[in-house]
Amino acid sequence: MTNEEKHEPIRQSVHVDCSREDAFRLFTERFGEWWPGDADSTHEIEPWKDGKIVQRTPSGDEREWGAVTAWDPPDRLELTWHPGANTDHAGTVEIEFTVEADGTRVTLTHTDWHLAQVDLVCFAGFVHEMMAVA
Amino acid sequence: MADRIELLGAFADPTRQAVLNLLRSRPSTVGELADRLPVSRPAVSQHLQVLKTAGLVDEERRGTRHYFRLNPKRLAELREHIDGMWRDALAAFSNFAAKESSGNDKRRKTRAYPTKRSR
Repeated sequence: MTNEEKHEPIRQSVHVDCSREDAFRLFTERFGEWWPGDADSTHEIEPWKDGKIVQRTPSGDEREWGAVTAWDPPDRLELTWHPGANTDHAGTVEIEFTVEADGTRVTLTHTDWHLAQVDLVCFAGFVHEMMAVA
Repeated sequence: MADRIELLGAFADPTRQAVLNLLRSRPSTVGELADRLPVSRPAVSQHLQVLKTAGLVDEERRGTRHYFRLNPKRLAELREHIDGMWRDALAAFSNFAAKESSGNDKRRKTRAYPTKRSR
């Protein structure tokens, strides 16, 4: 018997107004141009299998956010994902690109999201609120 | 509802953060947590009490053993946070891709319809 708790994967999808090939290429090669994170840092997905996902901060720190575990353009991309934390906190993110009317559907599935680092993620909103009050 | 200052205090200690991180994988007893952390059982017990009072952790009795687990409400908050993060990220990607490909269309159109023909 195991005490392991089951957590449903997080799933999100979006329509994109371009071909599957373009969507895959823009998602990966130009990750740093669309990723809505901290604007002072740069972000990159190295576009090949075993490539790293890297954040570079203004002070020159390089932080590994994960790695490419499957690289199947233009169908599918799979990453380990642990932004701001070590690999103990890694979940898996799968991104699938499928043809639909007038473009492409991008579907993202995040499994083992519950391992994300609590101190950086979970109560971020709460801590932010506390700092605003203080 | 836990007091906010209490919650922030519970959360500020690195051992308590480590306990929370372990409990995310599975509910555990005091002994199991102590085995995986560089602190004694009584110290783990004390940290768990603080986390319980702050509403971050709850306790469940299974037979003669007491298991501690992350409060499901907190886990739901984490899920919501990550869900929202991906929603924002995919929306940003969709906008970016639309802009990029309409830029390409314009360039294609310029090439497709060259100069005005003179009669």
